[in-house]
Amino acid sequence: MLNRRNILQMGAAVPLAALTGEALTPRVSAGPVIGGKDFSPTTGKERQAIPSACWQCVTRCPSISYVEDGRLVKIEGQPKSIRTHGVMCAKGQGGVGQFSDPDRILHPMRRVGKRGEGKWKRISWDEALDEISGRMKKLRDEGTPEKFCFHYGRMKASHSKLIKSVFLATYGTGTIGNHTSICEGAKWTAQEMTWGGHYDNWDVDHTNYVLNFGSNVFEAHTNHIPVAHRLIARLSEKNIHMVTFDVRLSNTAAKSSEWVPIKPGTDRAVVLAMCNVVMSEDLYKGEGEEFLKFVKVTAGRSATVDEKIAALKAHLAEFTPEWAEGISGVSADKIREIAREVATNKPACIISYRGAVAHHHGADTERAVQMLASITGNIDNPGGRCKAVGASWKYPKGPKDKPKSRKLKILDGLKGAAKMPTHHVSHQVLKMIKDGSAGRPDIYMWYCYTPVYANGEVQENIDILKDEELIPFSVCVNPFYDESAALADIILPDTPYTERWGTEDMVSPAQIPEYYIRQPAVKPLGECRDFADVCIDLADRMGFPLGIKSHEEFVMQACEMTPTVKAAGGFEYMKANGVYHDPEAKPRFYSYMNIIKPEKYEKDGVVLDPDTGVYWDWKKAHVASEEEALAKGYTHTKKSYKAYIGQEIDGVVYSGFKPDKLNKSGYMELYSEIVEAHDLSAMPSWTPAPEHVAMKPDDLILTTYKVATQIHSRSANCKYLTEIYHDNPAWINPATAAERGITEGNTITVNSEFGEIKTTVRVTPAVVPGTIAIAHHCGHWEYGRYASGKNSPEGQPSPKAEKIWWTTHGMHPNWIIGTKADPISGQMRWMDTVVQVEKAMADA
Amino acid sequence: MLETKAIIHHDELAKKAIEQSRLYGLLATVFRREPSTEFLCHLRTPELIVALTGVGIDFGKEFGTRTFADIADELAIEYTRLFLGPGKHISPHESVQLKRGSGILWGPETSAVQQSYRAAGFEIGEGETDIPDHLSVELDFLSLLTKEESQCWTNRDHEQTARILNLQRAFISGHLGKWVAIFCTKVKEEAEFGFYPAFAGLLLSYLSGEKMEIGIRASLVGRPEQNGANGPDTTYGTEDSARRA
Repeated sequence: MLNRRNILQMGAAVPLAALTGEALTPRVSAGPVIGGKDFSPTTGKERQAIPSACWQCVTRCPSISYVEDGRLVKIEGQPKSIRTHGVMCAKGQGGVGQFSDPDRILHPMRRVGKRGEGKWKRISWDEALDEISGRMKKLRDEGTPEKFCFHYGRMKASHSKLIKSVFLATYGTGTIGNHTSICEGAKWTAQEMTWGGHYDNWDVDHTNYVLNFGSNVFEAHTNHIPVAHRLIARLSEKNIHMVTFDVRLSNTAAKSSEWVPIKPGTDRAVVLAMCNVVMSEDLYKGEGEEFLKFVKVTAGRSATVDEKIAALKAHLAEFTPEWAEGISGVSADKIREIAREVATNKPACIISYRGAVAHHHGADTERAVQMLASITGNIDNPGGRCKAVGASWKYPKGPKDKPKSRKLKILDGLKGAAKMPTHHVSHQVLKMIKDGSAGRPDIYMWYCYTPVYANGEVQENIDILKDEELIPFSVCVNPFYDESAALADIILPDTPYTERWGTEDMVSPAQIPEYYIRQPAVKPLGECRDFADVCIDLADRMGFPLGIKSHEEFVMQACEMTPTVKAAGGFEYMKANGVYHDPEAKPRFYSYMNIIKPEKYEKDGVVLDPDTGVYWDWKKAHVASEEEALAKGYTHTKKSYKAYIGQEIDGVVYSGFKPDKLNKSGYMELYSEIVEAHDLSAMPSWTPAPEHVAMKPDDLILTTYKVATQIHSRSANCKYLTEIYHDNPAWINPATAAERGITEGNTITVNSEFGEIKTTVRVTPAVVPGTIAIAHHCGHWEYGRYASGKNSPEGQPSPKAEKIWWTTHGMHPNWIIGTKADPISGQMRWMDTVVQVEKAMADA
Repeated sequence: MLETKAIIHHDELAKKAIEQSRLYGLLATVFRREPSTEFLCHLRTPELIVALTGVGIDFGKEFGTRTFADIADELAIEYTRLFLGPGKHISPHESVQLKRGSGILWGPETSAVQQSYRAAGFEIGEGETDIPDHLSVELDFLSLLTKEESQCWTNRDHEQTARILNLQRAFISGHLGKWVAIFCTKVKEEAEFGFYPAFAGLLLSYLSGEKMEIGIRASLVGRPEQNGANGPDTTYGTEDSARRA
């Protein structure tokens, strides 16, 4: 265990210069250190700085880990990053808690009691992987690899490539769940319907006006700090106007120029009414009208711009501001005022997120937002709503011979749950397993995900995961013992992100791609292993080596294979600097206007689809012949979007809005025949949530939100963060509270069709009447001492405790939120739950 | 108790130090990982039964007539529940246990422990997965120091003997001695079987007197030795610890 070492050698290693003072730097500093360096406050020694990347939230900001005496002591932003400019949020800085959580799992574990009983035994990695690979291999050998269901929460860049595209693809299962439907799946589906490949970047650097529907960008968001710090600067330095529609006075709403309270789930009515104002008052003229050339608002593609204008006016005529006022509670005058502002303050950036889309027909809300941005000429322009730009890494592909993957049809929800779930309905995977009609996996493995806690209908999730008839064998890959890990058969101790490798590629709000990597700050504690490395090991054990030695090697190869990164100096450069962008690169805007060179569409195999005007390569779409391609047509050929070349408009072939997941044209499709074919409105329109229509006078709508110091489900084990935020009393408007005799601090019961919770109340005008708002993050009953108070003996959760002074842990709202899906996209309807709220008996 | 006025034969001190080293080693093994059947079998050898009974530990009743494999299985679950989790457990790490300490894994206390190892000329092995301030690593360190002490007594290397004793004293007073009582008390409270409380009791009892014993040994460094029939006038080491227990 301890090896004798030559003390004299250690002494000899001390540079003589240091003893004589020759190594001292000049006393006069050029200026304050603004990042990239850190010093021990006790010894004054410079700490080891390791460029890396965050993983707390999906934004994955470039970071620097500081190590002192082999210990991760601090994380801060990477000042070289063009995405963050060195800014890092509290969650990112609090990430040191992922490393130092005293309740971390350090060894593989196997349950020895009943599932969920909490009785465990340490096992070796060999025991664990022999058992898992043995079971997996059996399924593969029997020709049923799909019975291995892999369900992840976050898996990006090299992790996704190595685990999903190499390991799982070579294994052969396509039963791979994600968690996009509990995030913002409705946005992505809507974007795929309209402008193709998903993700909208908001160019706040150049904007003069921001109109926000339900994004809490200053506290959360999938590109949180990269956008938020720019937006704050723009607001404070340029004094631009920002209007936020939200049911709650979030910190984003509070920092906006104006907060417009709105009834939950009614943003679309307001957006449609604004579109009505823009069209009826001819405010589209100028950029909006010019952009219509690239927009489809009618069936077919022969409409002139005038015909398009007429079609839009006709469609929007019924959605007047007065109509929207009756639905949303926002006055018609206010709707008109803001519609005029957003149409005339150019460029304007129209933004949206879960507050707007995590509803019934939430995808249609996003389509409406796309419409408003289009007719005001604010699409993919400086200062507008832009097509995302991110790093394009190249990766090793692993074994050439990969089987055709097989999958259980359990990923898209219960029958009739969603018509176009392009990002799946993974929050219903457990329900589908229970249902059994599409088969059940023999092995359910989850990674960086907590299916019990993160989804709605928690009790059902627990019941299903516990049931060995439904799930014969389960494996949790997790550094921490959360509510889901507690129900696993085997726990594999993953490394927290502070101890692993990875490439990263998140969208750049600068519209210039940024390449960055994650490096371990320290070697993995205990026996923790990066799951990507474990996959390589599993493949070896099953007899199909991936040809990759480690995740580190995979990252190294990616650095050498990616031309931009290789030119910068490859792996060594990235290890030293962490982040790279081409200093000569110009921000990318108006990408749809790029003209395709004739050699791209005049070559063999490429044909023009007369119905859509799309040039497509039928060979790439695996069609047998040109005749068949022309006969079938682009739209009706399976996955023809992958063969898209360009869009012909007025005799010119543009790159257009390249499709993804759907065989749409290269137009911005505000009118979608594909959507229409699913018995949905071809253009965005209004369909109320059925539960809201049926609400009784005393019913309220439950809405949820995130705070600035916690991520959704996986940060409450970080002490610094939970010390700041560990309780989530329900917000209720004073008028709503008074109707129920509720006062500040009361205990209340909140009932829905899925159950009842008890929680405390905060009476505040910062939430609209008729609504109750409960934050995520809290109410853990596992996840270690900081999160749950289910403490180890050394951490008594009492005021007398030295390290955990808080005694409340809040209430998890998901017990009473359904796993209902947006019938269009499959998005989980977080904000639609109808509840009854009463003062609890003890407080009555 | 060692008689300071006695004139001790250093070979005897060397022998006692080896015994101490073995005791530390045994305790390190106990708290490092779950007991194997071989380990349990070894505990039941007549020689060890006598030794353990001498310090008040008798596993006869607890082990009963069950097989060592069954006992090992039960103790593996007990070990996991007590010291590993997942979930509620008694972290065997100084940084987590230390009163008014950081309370976190790999905290500043861990760095200080690692510094102590380095100052003594030791480094954590490359393949070691236990964190430096894990109880078993700290006990291993003391086992190695006492082994070194034994060699020093044998070699009559007074300077090195004094240094090694100082290292022991500093480590016990600066680290292990500061948190082991808290840890052992929790083990006694939380354990379902008698196995770990027994060894926790042994550890606590032994260490509680060790600081003073080190002082006494240090006072003997460089003093003339007495040979002959009278022999060394001392009881010291494992037996003495047992008596203190």
